[in-house]
Amino acid sequence: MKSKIIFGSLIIALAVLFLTGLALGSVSIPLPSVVDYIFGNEIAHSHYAILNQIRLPRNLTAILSGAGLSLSGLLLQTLFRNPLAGPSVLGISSGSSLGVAVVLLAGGSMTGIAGTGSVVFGAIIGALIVVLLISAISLKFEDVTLVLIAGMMLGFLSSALVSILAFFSNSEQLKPFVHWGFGSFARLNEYQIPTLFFILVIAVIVTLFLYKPLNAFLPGEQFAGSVGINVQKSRIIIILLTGLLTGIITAFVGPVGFIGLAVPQVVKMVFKTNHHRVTIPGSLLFGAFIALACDIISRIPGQDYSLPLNAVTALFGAPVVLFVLFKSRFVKKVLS
Amino acid sequence: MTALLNIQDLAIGYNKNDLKHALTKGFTTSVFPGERIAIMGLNGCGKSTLLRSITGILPLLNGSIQINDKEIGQLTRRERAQIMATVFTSYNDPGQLTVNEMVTFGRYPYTNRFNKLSERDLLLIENTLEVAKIGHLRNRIVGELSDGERQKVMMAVAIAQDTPLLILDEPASHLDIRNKALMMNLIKNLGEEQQKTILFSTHDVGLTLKIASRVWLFHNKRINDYKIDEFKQGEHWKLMLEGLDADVVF
Repeated sequence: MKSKIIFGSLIIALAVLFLTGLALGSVSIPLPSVVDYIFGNEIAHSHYAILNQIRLPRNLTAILSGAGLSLSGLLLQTLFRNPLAGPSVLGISSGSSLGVAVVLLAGGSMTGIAGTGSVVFGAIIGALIVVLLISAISLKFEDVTLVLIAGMMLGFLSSALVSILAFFSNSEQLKPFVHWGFGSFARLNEYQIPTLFFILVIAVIVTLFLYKPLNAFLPGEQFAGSVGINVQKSRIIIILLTGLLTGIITAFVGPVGFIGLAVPQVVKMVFKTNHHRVTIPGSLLFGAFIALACDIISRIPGQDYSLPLNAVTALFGAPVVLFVLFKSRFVKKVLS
Repeated sequence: MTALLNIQDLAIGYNKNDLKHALTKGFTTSVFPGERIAIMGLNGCGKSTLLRSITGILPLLNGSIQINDKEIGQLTRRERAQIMATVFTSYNDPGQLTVNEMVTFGRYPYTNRFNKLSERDLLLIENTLEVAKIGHLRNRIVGELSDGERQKVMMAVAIAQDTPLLILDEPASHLDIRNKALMMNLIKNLGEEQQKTILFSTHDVGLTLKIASRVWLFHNKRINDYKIDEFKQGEHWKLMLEGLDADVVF
């Protein structure tokens, strides 16, 4: 009952935030015009262009990416039974960065359809390589903590390779890569947003089919096995799913940190449950909300410049993670 | 009566292809519905290994274990979970799950992908909460329960699975005197009234004498198989004290 009220208010808040996101930016557009735009009424031509070509795509990108990254984070936290698991912690984002670095620094360009395509390809390949290595390790070793640490090490390795590549390239080549690394919801075209939407829908459907394994994983893999879950198979599907989802989102919006790590924790704290009946929709909604909020803040409404998205998500995410950790039983157990 | 479990020339241990270091070998027996078998022996003798082998978690070194005439290795996880329920001592904090949600996991081997519960499922869960005497805890968070309460909840999950075979690793180890009595009654009733077969490991001779109908005693890398009366009269448990003064214990 209580969670229904929270879900209801969350949906309303997301709608309000969506309108705010359309209204605010370097040029602010009055709310009546925004509402007119949504209902398809005629508005000033300059406003229409801004809303249609910049703010609407950007809002949609923020919502889809935030939901997707949070879902990834939730799945990884359940699988690894660890509140510190997340796409960036497991080295998946770093794998994407390495793939993108190889493409960009080897002379590929960020602009043009061919350029974007190869960047996406690089990011997905990078993420998939890390994910497949993690899957192989998780098949070989039972202990999930060990797999988590292996993922972190793969992340460090990828980052090291990225800095070596960066060291040997000139500033011309480096600039688009550094820009990509800041993270941004602003640069997606009319093909990429439907792609993102499609991937997210697939991911949600697969996640719903994982409903039982995910819940049964909460008391541990041995327990899941004893109530009839095929542990190995579920584990591989979860890892592949999160790898693909994170890889594609990272390719499009850059390695956006902290959303995947912090949002599922906020959800568990707000709803006071770890059951996936609540945490799956909760993470999708909260992820969309928080990503959009971070994006609006990063625009610094009224100014011509914007902050790097990654700085804003970290400013939100790091305190949340700290707060949740200090409150959680996890710490009490480690310290006792 | 047909046997539920047929064990043939079984050898168990942790090193594959290393029969020489097997914990025990050449064990052959049959287990029938309603039997309550206590598995006893010193630390490290292979009690847990035997239980893990029977549940199919651990590959056998030699021999075969058949349940209802099917090799355990051939069963899918789901089929296996419909035939046997297990409660192990190792336990992970499931985080914020209620007792009710936890016990519902016991119906997972029977429900569809989205865990749609039938009338019968709901009834069984309700009965289980009552039988395990944890109805008053149903909305509590599992991670916040005491060790004893938690152990009853894990037992309830196994009961909700409604399987002909229950495998319990030290079922009374964390329990106070009251909960221990409750657990003993529960195990005894499951065997006597519902004809369920229960294999449990324990160090507690008193518990064994009260509720077991049969004892498998590990001794010198062999499993000695006793009816409970033989075990009582022969004081076979004293085998475990070999070379020690039994008076020290009592």
